[in-house]
Amino acid sequence: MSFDLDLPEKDLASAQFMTTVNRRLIADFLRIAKSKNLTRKQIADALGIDKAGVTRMLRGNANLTTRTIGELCWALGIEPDFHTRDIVIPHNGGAAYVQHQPFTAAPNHLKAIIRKSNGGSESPTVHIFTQDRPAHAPA
Amino acid sequence: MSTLEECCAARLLIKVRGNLRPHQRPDRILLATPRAIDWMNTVLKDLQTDGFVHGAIRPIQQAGVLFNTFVSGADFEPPLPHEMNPKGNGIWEIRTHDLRFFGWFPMRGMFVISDVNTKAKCLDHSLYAGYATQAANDRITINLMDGRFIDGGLQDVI
Repeated sequence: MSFDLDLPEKDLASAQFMTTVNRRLIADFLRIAKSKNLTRKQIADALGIDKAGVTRMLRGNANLTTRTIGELCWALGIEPDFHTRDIVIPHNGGAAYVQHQPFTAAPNHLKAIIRKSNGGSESPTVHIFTQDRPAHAPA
Repeated sequence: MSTLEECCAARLLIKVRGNLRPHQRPDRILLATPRAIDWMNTVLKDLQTDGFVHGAIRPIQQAGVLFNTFVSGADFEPPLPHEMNPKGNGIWEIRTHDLRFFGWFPMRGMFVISDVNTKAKCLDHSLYAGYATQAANDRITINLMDGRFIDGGLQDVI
Protein backbone atom coordinates (compact mmCIF):
# COMPACT_ATOMS: atom_id res chain seq x y z
CA MET A 1 0.00 0.00 0.00
CA SER A 2 1.30 3.46 -0.85
CA PHE A 3 0.17 7.03 -0.67
CA ASP A 4 0.25 10.17 -2.80
CA LEU A 5 -1.22 13.52 -1.86
CA ASP A 6 -4.32 14.54 -3.77
CA LEU A 7 -2.43 17.30 -5.53
CA PRO A 8 -2.53 18.05 -9.27
CA GLU A 9 0.89 18.00 -10.93
CA LYS A 10 0.43 21.62 -12.01
CA ASP A 11 -0.06 22.73 -8.39
CA LEU A 12 2.94 20.73 -7.26
CA ALA A 13 5.13 22.07 -10.07
CA SER A 14 4.27 25.70 -9.35
CA ALA A 15 4.68 25.24 -5.59
CA GLN A 16 8.01 23.53 -6.19
CA PHE A 17 9.18 26.37 -8.38
CA MET A 18 8.31 29.00 -5.77
CA THR A 19 9.95 27.01 -3.00
CA THR A 20 13.10 26.35 -5.00
CA VAL A 21 13.46 29.98 -6.02
CA ASN A 22 13.09 31.10 -2.42
CA ARG A 23 15.47 28.44 -1.10
CA ARG A 24 18.22 29.21 -3.61
CA LEU A 25 17.86 32.95 -3.41
CA ILE A 26 18.03 32.93 0.37
CA ALA A 27 21.07 30.65 0.29
CA ASP A 28 22.78 32.98 -2.18
CA PHE A 29 21.80 36.11 -0.27
CA LEU A 30 23.21 34.66 2.97
CA ARG A 31 26.40 33.54 1.26
CA ILE A 32 26.94 36.88 -0.47
CA ALA A 33 26.13 38.93 2.64
CA LYS A 34 28.68 36.87 4.56
CA SER A 35 31.33 37.20 1.87
CA LYS A 36 30.86 40.98 1.82
CA ASN A 37 30.67 41.23 5.62
CA LEU A 38 27.25 42.84 5.38
CA THR A 39 25.17 42.60 8.55
CA ARG A 40 21.40 42.33 8.57
CA LYS A 41 21.34 45.77 10.17
CA GLN A 42 23.31 47.24 7.27
CA ILE A 43 21.02 45.57 4.72
CA ALA A 44 17.97 46.80 6.63
CA ASP A 45 19.36 50.35 6.76
CA ALA A 46 20.04 50.29 3.03
CA LEU A 47 16.48 49.13 2.35
CA GLY A 48 14.93 51.50 4.89
CA ILE A 49 13.24 48.71 6.84
CA ASP A 50 13.82 47.26 10.29
CA LYS A 51 16.29 44.45 10.96
CA ALA A 52 13.49 42.06 11.88
CA GLY A 53 12.10 42.40 8.36
CA VAL A 54 15.42 41.31 6.85
CA THR A 55 15.67 38.45 9.33
CA ARG A 56 12.20 37.23 8.36
CA MET A 57 13.17 37.29 4.68
CA LEU A 58 16.47 35.48 5.20
CA ARG A 59 14.91 32.84 7.43
CA GLY A 60 12.38 31.99 4.75
CA ASN A 61 9.55 33.44 6.83
CA ALA A 62 8.52 35.85 4.13
CA ASN A 63 7.39 35.21 0.61
CA LEU A 64 9.94 36.97 -1.59
CA THR A 65 8.20 39.04 -4.22
CA THR A 66 10.07 40.10 -7.34
CA ARG A 67 10.19 43.60 -5.87
CA THR A 68 11.75 42.27 -2.65
CA ILE A 69 14.24 40.20 -4.62
CA GLY A 70 15.19 43.26 -6.66
CA GLU A 71 15.65 45.36 -3.54
CA LEU A 72 17.73 42.71 -1.78
CA CYS A 73 19.90 42.30 -4.90
CA TRP A 74 20.41 46.06 -4.95
CA ALA A 75 21.31 46.15 -1.26
CA LEU A 76 23.81 43.32 -1.76
CA GLY A 77 25.25 44.80 -4.96
CA ILE A 78 24.37 41.89 -7.20
CA GLU A 79 22.21 41.14 -10.22
CA PRO A 80 20.16 38.04 -10.96
CA ASP A 81 21.23 35.92 -13.92
CA PHE A 82 18.46 33.86 -15.49
CA HIS A 83 18.78 30.54 -17.29
CA THR A 84 16.12 28.22 -18.63
CA ARG A 85 16.39 24.57 -19.53
CA ASP A 86 14.15 21.93 -21.06
CA ILE A 87 13.38 18.73 -19.21
CA VAL A 88 14.21 15.80 -21.44
CA ILE A 89 12.88 12.41 -20.39
CA PRO A 90 15.12 9.62 -21.69
CA HIS A 91 13.45 6.29 -22.55
CA ASN A 92 15.33 4.55 -19.75
CA GLY A 93 14.01 6.94 -17.10
CA GLY A 94 15.70 9.70 -15.16
CA ALA A 95 15.89 13.25 -16.32
CA ALA A 96 18.43 15.16 -18.31
CA TYR A 97 18.47 18.86 -18.80
CA VAL A 98 19.38 20.92 -21.82
CA GLN A 99 20.46 24.30 -20.66
CA HIS A 100 19.68 27.32 -22.78
CA GLN A 101 22.05 30.20 -23.19
CA PRO A 102 21.57 32.78 -20.45
CA PHE A 103 19.52 35.50 -22.07
CA THR A 104 20.88 38.24 -19.86
CA ALA A 105 24.49 37.30 -20.28
CA ALA A 106 26.76 39.73 -22.01
CA PRO A 107 28.71 38.38 -25.00
CA ASN A 108 32.11 37.03 -24.06
CA HIS A 109 34.03 39.99 -25.44
CA LEU A 110 31.87 42.30 -23.30
CA LYS A 111 32.34 40.10 -20.25
CA ALA A 112 36.08 40.55 -20.60
CA ILE A 113 35.65 44.31 -20.71
CA ILE A 114 33.33 44.25 -17.72
CA ARG A 115 35.80 42.10 -15.81
CA LYS A 116 38.59 44.52 -16.64
CA SER A 117 36.53 47.52 -15.56
CA ASN A 118 35.77 45.77 -12.29
CA GLY A 119 39.44 45.36 -11.59
CA GLY A 120 39.54 41.83 -12.92
CA SER A 121 36.70 40.37 -10.91
CA GLU A 122 33.10 39.61 -11.77
CA SER A 123 30.25 40.51 -9.46
CA PRO A 124 28.60 37.47 -7.88
CA THR A 125 25.32 36.59 -9.52
CA VAL A 126 22.16 34.85 -8.38
CA HIS A 127 21.16 32.01 -10.66
CA ILE A 128 17.48 31.33 -11.10
CA PHE A 129 16.66 28.28 -13.20
CA THR A 130 13.33 27.68 -14.85
CA GLN A 131 12.28 24.38 -16.31
CA ASP A 132 9.91 23.90 -19.24
CA ARG A 133 7.40 21.14 -18.89
CA PRO A 134 8.02 18.71 -21.78
CA ALA A 135 5.34 18.81 -24.43
CA HIS A 136 4.83 15.03 -24.27
CA ALA A 137 4.43 14.84 -20.48
CA PRO A 138 0.96 14.03 -19.21
CA ALA A 139 -1.01 17.03 -17.99
CA MET B 1 13.25 -7.64 13.66
CA SER B 2 10.74 -6.23 11.16
CA THR B 3 11.81 -5.48 7.65
CA LEU B 4 10.39 -2.62 5.63
CA GLU B 5 8.31 -5.07 3.60
CA GLU B 6 6.91 -6.69 6.75
CA CYS B 7 6.00 -3.32 8.28
CA CYS B 8 4.24 -2.26 5.08
CA ALA B 9 2.45 -5.62 4.71
CA ALA B 10 1.21 -5.34 8.30
CA ARG B 11 0.11 -1.77 7.54
CA LEU B 12 2.19 -0.42 10.37
CA LEU B 13 3.79 1.85 7.81
CA ILE B 14 2.68 3.20 4.45
CA LYS B 15 5.04 4.20 1.70
CA VAL B 16 4.71 7.85 0.61
CA ARG B 17 5.43 8.00 -3.11
CA GLY B 18 6.10 11.74 -3.16
CA ASN B 19 3.84 12.64 -6.12
CA LEU B 20 6.79 12.09 -8.44
CA ARG B 21 6.59 13.85 -11.80
CA PRO B 22 7.22 12.06 -15.11
CA HIS B 23 10.92 12.93 -15.20
CA GLN B 24 11.60 11.95 -11.58
CA ARG B 25 12.64 8.65 -10.05
CA PRO B 26 12.66 7.71 -6.35
CA ASP B 27 16.00 8.15 -4.68
CA ARG B 28 15.00 8.20 -0.99
CA ILE B 29 12.33 6.36 0.99
CA LEU B 30 9.56 8.13 2.87
CA LEU B 31 7.17 6.24 5.14
CA ALA B 32 4.30 7.31 7.36
CA THR B 33 2.16 5.79 10.05
CA PRO B 34 -1.53 5.19 9.22
CA ARG B 35 -2.34 7.92 11.77
CA ALA B 36 -0.31 10.50 9.81
CA ILE B 37 -1.84 9.33 6.51
CA ASP B 38 -5.35 9.69 7.97
CA TRP B 39 -4.57 13.25 9.02
CA MET B 40 -3.31 14.10 5.55
CA ASN B 41 -6.34 12.50 3.91
CA THR B 42 -8.84 14.31 6.12
CA VAL B 43 -7.43 17.53 7.60
CA LEU B 44 -4.64 18.53 5.26
CA LYS B 45 -6.56 18.63 2.00
CA ASP B 46 -8.75 21.58 3.02
CA LEU B 47 -6.28 23.35 5.27
CA GLN B 48 -5.40 26.97 4.55
CA THR B 49 -2.18 28.74 5.50
CA ASP B 50 -2.30 30.57 8.83
CA GLY B 51 -1.17 33.79 7.13
CA PHE B 52 2.03 34.21 9.15
CA VAL B 53 4.05 34.04 5.95
CA HIS B 54 2.40 36.43 3.54
CA GLY B 55 1.62 34.73 0.24
CA ALA B 56 2.57 31.25 1.45
CA ILE B 57 1.43 28.32 -0.68
CA ARG B 58 -1.33 26.05 0.71
CA PRO B 59 -0.27 23.51 3.33
CA ILE B 60 -1.02 20.57 1.01
CA GLN B 61 1.36 22.14 -1.52
CA GLN B 62 3.96 22.64 1.21
CA ALA B 63 3.67 18.95 2.06
CA GLY B 64 3.79 18.05 -1.65
CA VAL B 65 7.01 19.98 -2.19
CA LEU B 66 8.59 18.48 0.93
CA PHE B 67 7.67 14.90 0.01
CA ASN B 68 8.64 15.32 -3.62
CA THR B 69 11.98 16.91 -2.74
CA PHE B 70 12.76 14.15 -0.29
CA VAL B 71 11.66 11.16 -2.36
CA SER B 72 13.16 12.38 -5.64
CA GLY B 73 16.50 12.86 -3.94
CA ALA B 74 16.49 16.50 -4.99
CA ASP B 75 18.81 19.00 -3.46
CA PHE B 76 17.91 19.61 0.20
CA GLU B 77 20.99 21.69 0.73
CA PRO B 78 21.08 24.26 1.93
CA PRO B 79 18.03 23.82 4.10
CA LEU B 80 16.24 26.98 5.11
CA PRO B 81 17.11 27.97 8.66
CA HIS B 82 15.22 25.80 11.18
CA GLU B 83 13.72 23.66 8.41
CA MET B 84 14.98 20.38 9.87
CA ASN B 85 15.48 20.18 13.60
CA PRO B 86 16.88 17.26 15.56
CA LYS B 87 14.82 17.00 18.75
CA GLY B 88 17.17 14.64 20.57
CA ASN B 89 17.04 10.86 20.88
CA GLY B 90 17.12 10.57 17.09
CA ILE B 91 13.76 12.27 16.63
CA TRP B 92 13.48 14.97 13.99
CA GLU B 93 11.01 17.74 13.38
CA ILE B 94 10.68 18.79 9.75
CA ARG B 95 9.00 22.12 9.16
CA THR B 96 7.16 23.85 6.40
CA HIS B 97 5.58 27.28 6.86
CA ASP B 98 2.41 25.77 8.35
CA LEU B 99 3.18 22.12 9.10
CA ARG B 100 5.26 20.17 11.59
CA PHE B 101 6.26 16.57 10.82
CA PHE B 102 7.74 14.39 13.55
CA GLY B 103 9.64 11.18 12.95
CA TRP B 104 12.97 9.45 12.69
CA PHE B 105 15.57 8.29 10.18
CA PRO B 106 16.05 4.49 10.38
CA MET B 107 18.94 4.97 7.96
CA ARG B 108 20.38 7.67 5.75
CA GLY B 109 17.81 8.71 3.12
CA MET B 110 14.87 6.98 4.82
CA PHE B 111 12.43 8.94 7.00
CA VAL B 112 9.40 7.70 8.93
CA ILE B 113 6.68 10.25 9.68
CA SER B 114 5.19 9.37 13.03
CA ASP B 115 2.72 12.24 13.13
CA VAL B 116 1.98 15.65 11.68
CA ASN B 117 0.03 18.69 12.73
CA THR B 118 -0.17 22.40 12.04
CA LYS B 119 2.34 24.81 13.50
CA ALA B 120 -0.56 26.68 15.12
CA LYS B 121 -1.87 23.58 16.93
CA CYS B 122 1.63 22.57 18.04
CA LEU B 123 2.26 26.03 19.47
CA ASP B 124 -1.18 26.68 20.97
CA HIS B 125 -1.34 23.30 22.71
CA SER B 126 2.41 22.86 23.40
CA LEU B 127 2.47 19.59 21.49
CA TYR B 128 6.14 19.49 20.46
CA ALA B 129 7.42 17.38 23.35
CA GLY B 130 4.43 15.05 23.15
CA TYR B 131 4.94 14.41 19.45
CA ALA B 132 8.65 13.73 20.01
CA THR B 133 7.81 11.20 22.74
CA GLN B 134 5.13 9.61 20.57
CA ALA B 135 7.60 9.26 17.70
CA ALA B 136 10.11 7.54 19.99
CA ASN B 137 7.36 5.18 21.17
CA ASP B 138 6.32 4.47 17.57
CA ARG B 139 9.91 3.62 16.76
CA ILE B 140 9.93 0.98 19.49
CA THR B 141 6.46 -0.38 18.71
CA ILE B 142 6.90 -0.59 14.94
CA ASN B 143 10.41 -1.99 15.42
CA LEU B 144 11.46 -1.33 11.85
CA MET B 145 14.98 -2.75 11.45
CA ASP B 146 15.13 -3.46 15.19
CA GLY B 147 14.17 0.12 15.97
CA ARG B 148 17.35 1.35 14.36
CA PHE B 149 17.78 5.10 13.94
CA ILE B 150 20.41 7.67 13.04
CA ASP B 151 21.28 10.09 15.79
CA GLY B 152 23.26 12.81 14.11
CA GLY B 153 23.16 16.01 12.13
CA LEU B 154 21.65 16.88 8.79
CA GLN B 155 24.65 15.62 6.84
CA ASP B 156 24.20 12.20 8.47
CA VAL B 157 20.56 11.72 7.51
CA ILE B 158 20.12 12.99 3.94
